[in-house]
Amino acid sequence: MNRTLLAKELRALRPYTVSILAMSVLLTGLLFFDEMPDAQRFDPARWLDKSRFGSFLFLVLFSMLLGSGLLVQESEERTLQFLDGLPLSRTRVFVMKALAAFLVISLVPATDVGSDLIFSAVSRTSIDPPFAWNFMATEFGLQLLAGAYLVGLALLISFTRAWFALVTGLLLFAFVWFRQRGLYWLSNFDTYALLSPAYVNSKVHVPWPQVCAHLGGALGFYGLAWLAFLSIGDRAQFTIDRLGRLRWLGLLGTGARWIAPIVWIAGLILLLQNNDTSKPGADSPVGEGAFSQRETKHYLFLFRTSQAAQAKPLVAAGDIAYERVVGYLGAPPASTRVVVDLASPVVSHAVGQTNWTKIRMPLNGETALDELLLILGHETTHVFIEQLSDGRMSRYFNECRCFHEGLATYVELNAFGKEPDRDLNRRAIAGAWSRGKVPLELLMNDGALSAKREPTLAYPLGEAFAQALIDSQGHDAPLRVLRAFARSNAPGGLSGAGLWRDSMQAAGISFDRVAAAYDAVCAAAVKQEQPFVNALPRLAATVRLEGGNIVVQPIFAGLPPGQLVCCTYDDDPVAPQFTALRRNHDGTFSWPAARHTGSTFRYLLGWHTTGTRLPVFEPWAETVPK
Amino acid sequence: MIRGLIEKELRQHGFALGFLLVLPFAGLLLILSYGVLQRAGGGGFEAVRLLLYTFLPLASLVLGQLLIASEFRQKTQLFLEGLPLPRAWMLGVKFALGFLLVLLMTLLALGYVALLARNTEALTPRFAALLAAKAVGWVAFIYTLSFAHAFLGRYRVPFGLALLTGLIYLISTGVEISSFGPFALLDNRFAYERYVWPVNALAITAGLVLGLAALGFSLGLVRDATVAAMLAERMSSREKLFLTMFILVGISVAAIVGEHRQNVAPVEMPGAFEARHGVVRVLVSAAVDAPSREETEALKRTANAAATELGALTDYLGCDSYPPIFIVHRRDLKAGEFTYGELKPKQGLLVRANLTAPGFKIDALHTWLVRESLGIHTAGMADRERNAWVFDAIQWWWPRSQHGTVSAWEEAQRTEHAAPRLLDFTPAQLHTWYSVRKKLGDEPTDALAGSSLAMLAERHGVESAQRFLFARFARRQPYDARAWWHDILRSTGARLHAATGLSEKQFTAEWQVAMADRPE
Repeated sequence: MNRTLLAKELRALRPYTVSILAMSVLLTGLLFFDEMPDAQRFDPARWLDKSRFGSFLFLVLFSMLLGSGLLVQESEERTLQFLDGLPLSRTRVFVMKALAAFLVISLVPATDVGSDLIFSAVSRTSIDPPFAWNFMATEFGLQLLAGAYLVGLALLISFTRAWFALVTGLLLFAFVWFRQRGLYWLSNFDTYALLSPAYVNSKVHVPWPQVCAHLGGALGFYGLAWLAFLSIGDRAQFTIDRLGRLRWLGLLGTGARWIAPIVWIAGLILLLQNNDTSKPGADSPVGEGAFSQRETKHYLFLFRTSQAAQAKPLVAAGDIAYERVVGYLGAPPASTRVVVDLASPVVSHAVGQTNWTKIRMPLNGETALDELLLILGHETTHVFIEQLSDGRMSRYFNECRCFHEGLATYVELNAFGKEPDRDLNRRAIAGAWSRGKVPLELLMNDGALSAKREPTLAYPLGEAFAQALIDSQGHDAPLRVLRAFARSNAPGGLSGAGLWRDSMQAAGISFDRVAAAYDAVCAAAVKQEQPFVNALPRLAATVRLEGGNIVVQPIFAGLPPGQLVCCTYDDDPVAPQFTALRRNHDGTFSWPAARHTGSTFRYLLGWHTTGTRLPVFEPWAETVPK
Repeated sequence: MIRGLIEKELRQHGFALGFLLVLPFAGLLLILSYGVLQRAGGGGFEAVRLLLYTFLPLASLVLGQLLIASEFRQKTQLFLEGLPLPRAWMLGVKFALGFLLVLLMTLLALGYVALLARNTEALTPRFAALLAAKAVGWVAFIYTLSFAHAFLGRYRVPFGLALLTGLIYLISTGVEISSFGPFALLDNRFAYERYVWPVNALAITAGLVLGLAALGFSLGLVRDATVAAMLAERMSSREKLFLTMFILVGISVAAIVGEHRQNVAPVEMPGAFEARHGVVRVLVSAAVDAPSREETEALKRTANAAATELGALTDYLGCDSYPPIFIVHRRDLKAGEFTYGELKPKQGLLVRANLTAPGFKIDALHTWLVRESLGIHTAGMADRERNAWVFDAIQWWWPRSQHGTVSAWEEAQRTEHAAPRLLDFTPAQLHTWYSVRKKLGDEPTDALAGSSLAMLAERHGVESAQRFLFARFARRQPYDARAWWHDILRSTGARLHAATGLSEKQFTAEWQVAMADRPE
């Protein structure tokens, strides 16, 4: 009877089986026809980086499709009565249904592994390292567990029937919300994190906390779903129908269902939200009051009336600052006034921010006028960059961040800064270059750069880029490049250095000359700041697990030239935040292990000295805490 | 009668319509309370943009579902058709009611935000008018799209997903959707542009709105509305599943193709020295401010020499095209340091070198260029392990055979000392050439590989070697799976046999014997 029952369930799930197989065949076939099939060697790091998300997505999708109707459909279509008439227990029916769903969902990892094996067989060479069977087997097992867990969850939620979307959204919302409020242990239930075993020195490091949580979760889901399945029947239906006849309850139910989109969107917003832990208004004046406006020739200043005294000198000097920027860029003045909002907050750790023609630079009562003019000059340059490039510089943010920040820093330092400011920046360039060259091509790919080095490098090295452009191509070169970006016939879809090469070509500028000049600027900075560079000992570290914390113990030779800093990315899979580790009295740094998912730990170590504004970091290091 | 229709709609959907009017405010409050967005966006109107991008399409889709789709699915439109008024009026009332609702919702949201942000936004009548015009344009577009979409009945979801996939695909291929018509109205300047009227975008949006409205009305009226009624029939579960799968595959295909299809722009080097020889084009320029006379001479000399060398090679191989070669002179590099310029294969090959460094050798540059350019020309197939021995062989043999005119057998015998370290010469060793390279080192492997061509030229004539190399390298390969298929369907062994009549086994046996005969 078990076999018959299983066969019946598998037959009912045949469309899903066909879908999974067909999709796998189609996608594998596509690789055989669109890409180089013999360049697809199986590499655990590449799988984790590129393929993991796709596998996760398929698992979620098919689990939800399978689980949402498997149990309740029997009741809705009245076929449960027929099953109840057979000499079978509900438990047996449930087990066979769950087993059938598990067999079908296991096709997702099976086809995933299968296609990896096919491509690996085609791509392997005689000198490749031994095939990562251990990683593949682990990944297969973890995907099976993930599939079982997600199907169990869907089976349980399916009893909410028409509320399925709402409950799923609520669960997602609650998961993200609670996690962002400090319940880091919830990340053990994160299925995406479950699928990320580390692979270091041919050894697989299984994320055991996630495995245990998912095993426990799956058992709980199946248990509850089993209880719910036992209870459905005429009596339950009768109760539901009776409740459904209550008008107020009906309205409530309908209303709640309508809330589903809000819940989903709120969940998505939370998912995309940065883990902004700073207190609101910490970097801006607090307290509402009357607001004032002051118009100058080029600016429209908005500020709290209570801050009029601090705003007054800035307002008075604003136009001069504007003219200096115009003079430096050689650009015509903008056709409209730039709005400068001195009252609204900006993102954490920033002193000013620009969106199109609106600048925000909150007054905090402590900043001197010189410093405010530096900020205003910097932000006004951003306005010009956006205007002259017709917004394309921010559209190609990944490619243009270095130039956006670099040119603004260049104008800030040269039009408003003093020699010590320029010295600080030069030392930052020297420090960064001494920790490994950053070719211009890499600087022009912010994502790739951030994967190797600290994200703040766009400022000093971007300034070196702007300087190289002006030194090698003339004072009007930035203007020509920005106008080239704005041209209407620019080819679309370019990326990285290719985009820059095209724009520079259109501006009559040699990319290679600029690249050579950039290398020369950075090399010259290192030469000039050799004593500073020599004073920065190279940093390494040991990383261990101790009392629920990941402890980083820095290692260096010689005297410390300043303060040691250690940073990592907060382990939010959607919006990771660059965060500093807490410094201990013994010179080590610690990070709560609970806030860290995955088996390897990535960190940056650097020196913060009086010689630079920002720390000089070593490249990213990654290790398995012991 | 119109009033009656309106009353009917309000009575039937009053709760839902009221809810839809309130729903965006919940969304707006949610967005406004989102601190990070507030700090990043810097003004309330950014929240309106987000609202119009997320909640408005949802609300419009729901309106389409309520007012149109459910009417046709439940066949209640048949009752309305029995009333003494034209069918177009019935659709007109539904269209106007929904449009007014979304318009009201949007203007209320704008007004509410304007009130909140009155102190931190420099609100002028022009800025307010710009915001309103752009918002109304977007609302009209989204609503008419949803209206037309609602008539597609059971194909609404697949069509919607296909539309979304298409947009994602277009974005991935470089089409700037955000600067087109309605999308340009809601670009990232929406909340900040206070002066410039988006005339083009508004005109295109107006055209699209008219077109979509006409499409919606046509679908609802054509053939006495039987088309819309037919489309509104329920979908079978098989049809649902098939479409789901079809859409998933479509999305995956679009994502994969989009990821790998990147545009490239041709590389230009104004002021570079250019030399051509047959299909070969070499451009050499200096990445320095003012090249010295010596440098200028070196640029010219290098361009001519590289073009001559590669031109002779491509003539010999019978190539009908060849990737353009760009050489950039850099003073800061060491002699013999050649750095790759990171062009896309379609753009050609760019190398940076110090052409005037003491100790710079043009032959070393030529060897580098031959290897890298042949790699690009064959889409990397030449350096696959199964073909790598020929790739190594040509690099050694080409300069020593005086461009394929002599066998160079004696030199091969003189310089080749690696053969005894190999236990045997077998086709299997040709197919695992990376291991041979790893075992012997680069230069001995090149020499060993080169001796194979020398032997072939010596024993079977230089024409035989040329035929084989022509078969292997002449054709330019595309950078996709076609190159692999060409290589698999016509392997190096098959090409060798076709060109020389020798199987790989015979070839390696003959090679082994020949090498054993070498003089002490």
